[in-house]
Amino acid sequence: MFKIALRNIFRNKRRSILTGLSISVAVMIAVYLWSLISGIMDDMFDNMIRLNVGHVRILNKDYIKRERMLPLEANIPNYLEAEKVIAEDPDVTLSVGRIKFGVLLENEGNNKPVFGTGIVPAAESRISNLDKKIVEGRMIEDDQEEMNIGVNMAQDLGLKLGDTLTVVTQTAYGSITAMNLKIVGIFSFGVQSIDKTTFYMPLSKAQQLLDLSNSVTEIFVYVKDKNKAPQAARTIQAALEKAYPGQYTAQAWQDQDILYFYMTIARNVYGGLYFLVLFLASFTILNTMFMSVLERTKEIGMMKSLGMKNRQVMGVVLLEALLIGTIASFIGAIWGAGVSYYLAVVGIDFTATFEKMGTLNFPLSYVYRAIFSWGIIFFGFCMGVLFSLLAAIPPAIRAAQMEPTEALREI
Amino acid sequence: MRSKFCIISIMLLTSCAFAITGEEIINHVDDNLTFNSGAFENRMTIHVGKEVRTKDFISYSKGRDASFAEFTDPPRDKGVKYLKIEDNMWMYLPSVDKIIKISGAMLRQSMMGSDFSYEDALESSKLLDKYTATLVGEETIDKSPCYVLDLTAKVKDVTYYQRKIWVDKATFVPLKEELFALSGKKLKVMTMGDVKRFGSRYYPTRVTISNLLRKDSMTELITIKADFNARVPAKYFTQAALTK
Repeated sequence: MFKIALRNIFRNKRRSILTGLSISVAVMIAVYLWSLISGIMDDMFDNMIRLNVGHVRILNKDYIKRERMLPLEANIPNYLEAEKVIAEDPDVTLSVGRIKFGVLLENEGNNKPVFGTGIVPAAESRISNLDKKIVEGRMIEDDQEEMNIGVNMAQDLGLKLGDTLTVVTQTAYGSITAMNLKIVGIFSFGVQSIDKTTFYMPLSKAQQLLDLSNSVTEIFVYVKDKNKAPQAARTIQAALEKAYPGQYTAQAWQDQDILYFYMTIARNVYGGLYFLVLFLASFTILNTMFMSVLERTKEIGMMKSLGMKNRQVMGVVLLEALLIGTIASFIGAIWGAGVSYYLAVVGIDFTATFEKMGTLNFPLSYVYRAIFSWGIIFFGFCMGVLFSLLAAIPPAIRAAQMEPTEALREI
Repeated sequence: MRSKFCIISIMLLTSCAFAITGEEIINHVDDNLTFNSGAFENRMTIHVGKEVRTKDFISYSKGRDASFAEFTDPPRDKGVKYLKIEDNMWMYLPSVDKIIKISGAMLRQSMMGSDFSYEDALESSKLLDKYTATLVGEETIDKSPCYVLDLTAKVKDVTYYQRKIWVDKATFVPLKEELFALSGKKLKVMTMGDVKRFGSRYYPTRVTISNLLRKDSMTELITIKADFNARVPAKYFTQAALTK
């Protein structure tokens, strides 16, 4: 039976190659699409964690309710004390305070609402990698009236290294306040929403500017395993609740941002897309298999009249599909791996697209990189084989149900 | 029909009961509260929740249109100056040596973290230019008999569409004021106390204001020293004075 199937494949090379090719292409697309989707998702999560939330974020309960307004008055006073409580959890590897505040920046008549972030420069190499993202100048130093701005913000406001900018904002108590900050470095995270709208200044100076001595608005906590952040958040929450009843909330990155919610949806949508590609590819397989069954009506009739059982006819057709599917999927998976590898190393540059779209408040990078993973490739291969087999079932049934006499009469 | 009759009869009764009109009362109030020139030492105490912050400033005024204020304490605010000329307001921030014009949306924000907005501080035109006053009754506040007045805006560009003012019958100093938005929502409540006599005028040296949109918030403004005869040099009312 195996011989018959093999012979059938080679008898009509053109048809076999065509079927195989469609399977290969489908598997290839599925493999690199999934690699790319995984890459984009990972990139988004990574950006979100690094730049916006940390593994676990500690906030004043009042802050969460109005987070969009960046309410400075809902802060964490004496945050170093709170950090001691947080450090009691052995899983915590780092905790660091931050202040995020809104500013209307003005330079030579250009007004632009941006976000200032007070950071501890020394800790930032473990958080946002700011030190590695400086493209010009250097990173800010503690206790200095200095700032790092994003490359797009510099462009938009016509600022350059060495310029001094007056940052005017409101203190936690509502007074107008200002500070002159010298631009000592320009960074590029490759993330639109950050490079365009964020600047960094030393935490101590931000506290001075905003009249928030010893206070911060959020504490980023890092734990050993980011996937276990929700457990860590619960432990920290319990410890904080004991020390400061009803004051603070510890949120794991998985369950705090609305962004996470969107990302889960996006992941499902992409997943659906992936199966759609395979589904459409399986139709080509279905079609070619039907064709091959129809073309061989006479032949099948002959086999049947020679005493071949229905089950055997079905088996021949399915085996044929399995053989083509396996070989083609293997080829497709290798192609897909090649494309994924290329996308993982080089990436797709969306800089121009994003520039046209304007500021997106989404932690997306300019350059998408795929993830090269044998798991994805193997999965793609298996899916290819499975779908070719599934697509061969209806024509196989059709072949099996043919009446030998009728089939022989066909031309 | 019956209720209409009631309203009409109440209106008739009230107009008979008071010999003085709302407009006359407001005019008396304006006489008390406006002056040709003055020099003041003030202390502002801002209560937000349990937190209390005190700020001292000196201020000079010339007529309705020009005033100047300089903060002297705490160190954080020392040297912060404000200048108001007619409907314009500038602020000087010594930390960055910059003059900022306070305009647009900023006007409605809190001044130095208090319950006063910049707009409240700017308000200078006579109340009767923007509001029609109606005497609606009499009440007693802190043992002082008061006229109760309803003021409704007759122009569009006002923050407080409606005001309710309690004016002391004896001194014509307002003792309480409630400020309402167009929607009818009560925005701020002010009380005036420690009324002192300066020559022929009565002046409240203690004003408290609560911005009801802020949680647990109250600001008290005390005039420590007031001199209504002070000769204030004109140089204070220029932008150059801000940077000095």
